[in-house]
Amino acid sequence: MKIGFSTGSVALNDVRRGIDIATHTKTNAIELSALREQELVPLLRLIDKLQNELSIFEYIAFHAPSKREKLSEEAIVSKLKKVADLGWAIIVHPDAIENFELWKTLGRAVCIENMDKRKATGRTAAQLKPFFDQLPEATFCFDIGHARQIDPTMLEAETMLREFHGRLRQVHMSYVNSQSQHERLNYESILAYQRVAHWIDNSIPIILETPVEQDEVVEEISLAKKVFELVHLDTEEEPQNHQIRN
Amino acid sequence: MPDNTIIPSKDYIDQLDKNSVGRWKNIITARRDAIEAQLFLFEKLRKFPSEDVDIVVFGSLARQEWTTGSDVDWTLLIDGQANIDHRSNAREIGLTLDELEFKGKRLNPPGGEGIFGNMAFSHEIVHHIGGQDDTNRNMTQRILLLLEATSLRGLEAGGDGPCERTVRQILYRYLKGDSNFHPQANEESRIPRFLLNDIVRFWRTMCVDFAYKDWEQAGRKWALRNIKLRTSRKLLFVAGMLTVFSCFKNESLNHDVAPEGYILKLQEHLLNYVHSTPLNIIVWTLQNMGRDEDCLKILDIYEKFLATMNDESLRQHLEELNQETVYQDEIFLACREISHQLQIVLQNICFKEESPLREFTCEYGVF
Repeated sequence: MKIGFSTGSVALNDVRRGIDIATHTKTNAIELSALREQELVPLLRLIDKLQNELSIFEYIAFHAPSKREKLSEEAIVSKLKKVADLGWAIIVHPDAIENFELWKTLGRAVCIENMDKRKATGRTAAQLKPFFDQLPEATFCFDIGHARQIDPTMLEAETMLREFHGRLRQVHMSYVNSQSQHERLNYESILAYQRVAHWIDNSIPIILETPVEQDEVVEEISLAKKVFELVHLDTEEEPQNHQIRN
Repeated sequence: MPDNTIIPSKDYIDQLDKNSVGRWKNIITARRDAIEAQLFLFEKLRKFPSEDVDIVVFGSLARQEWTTGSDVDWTLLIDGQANIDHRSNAREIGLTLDELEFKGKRLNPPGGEGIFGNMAFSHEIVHHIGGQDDTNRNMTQRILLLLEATSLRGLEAGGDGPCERTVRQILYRYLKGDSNFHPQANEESRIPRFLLNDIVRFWRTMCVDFAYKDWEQAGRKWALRNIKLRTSRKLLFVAGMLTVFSCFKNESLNHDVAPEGYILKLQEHLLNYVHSTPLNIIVWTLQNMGRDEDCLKILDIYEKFLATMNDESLRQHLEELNQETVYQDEIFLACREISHQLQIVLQNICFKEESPLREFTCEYGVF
């Protein structure tokens, strides 16, 4: 199972520290977060310097800025080309996409994420469909916490997974509260997520967006694994503990 | 039952009417006016809804059967954090509506029972099914959210707001709490009995409340209420019953997935009916059963009913009728005849002629 954290959730905008925490805990996947536009250029620069540190991860994703401030859409897409060339998934919020032709140039690196209730679009399968229609190569980042916030019965989650199953590239996981804030997984969210876990193949990476301290990482991962304990019965190889190995 | 499901966005009556050249003019007009009225209300009230708060309309406005005398039955539905401002917002919505005119006529406020024109909370609606806390108001709101409700917020923001969330939770609760769908239950065709029982309870409650209102209001508006109970309210119940019937021996709902997946599959199926209108559910079901003639009869009968409701003088006459002389009144008797015709068609479909619906009604409808 590929599982890890978003650097934003374990170290806010300090990507280097996020990678450091991931390296010293039981994770084999990571998402580098440039959620705020000003984080984009520094993070892209950092990638070159971090090649060694990043090489230990089996899966790496990159979260594109959720909102444009100073940069044009064209400039952002052009900068993200570097990430696409690395073969990483670029997590994009649907409302950040205006010019589909631009994003098309990134091919299957574009990984569209379903949104929480604050966003005007991209919350449901029906609202996501036009984005995938316009970007036929795009893949899908299923945010299970957002989906549960939109519909706690998980019917919408099931609809999204059914509709976009072939595009599913990674899962975002956290408990999203009624104020749309990411929280640590709890009993309630695990039970809800178990309802649709059968749609998520063992090979799909899980990126946790739960705000945890370094000493809480292992515990959080074991909670996330509970979501799949009834469906992923074949015992997969445990992610390597880099701390022990190193 | 045919192995398919209703398409909520489709107007089956409109399709029929195109072939019959305006045979159901009042039904079609009532639908058009209702949609117009919904949009009008949304525009006037658009500052109130949010991600957690919805204005939900019920009654003829939601059923898309708007006539000149229709009330605006609304509720401020809250599916989120408690906030003291909700009370003042509900009050302001009421005041705003009091001042509004639609098509040159002042809007009618909801009835005085307090079921509408107020706040409602999803938690109570979802959690209190049965038991002491499931008040008449709570049960009515819950069942009406399934049978005749429209979210004003949803007209613009899409169908995933507080109203839709609550509706999905209600359906989920009925299915999850139904022993028919427990993992150990057998593989035979199942129907959501918990839901059916509550729909039947709601119908019988409306009938009992008819007598209650007569008692409390000393016979005021008796004739109008009587005609409505025998036609529009009865058809609302029939639509609810047919919603459950749609699961009866429906091959597309075969139990071929894990229990949790099966519940979601059923929930999705039922949601299509919730998103349709009562009259469309009836038309669609009868057509799919090959009962085209009965379908046309019901539409003809309902057309006459809506024509009466849309005639201001007739409606006012019915409102003012004295209970002692009502059975000598020609207009009332004509309306009563409409309801009798409806009863005959329904009896034929549900009890007299061999059909899956008869089988369903006999097996689950009463005992």
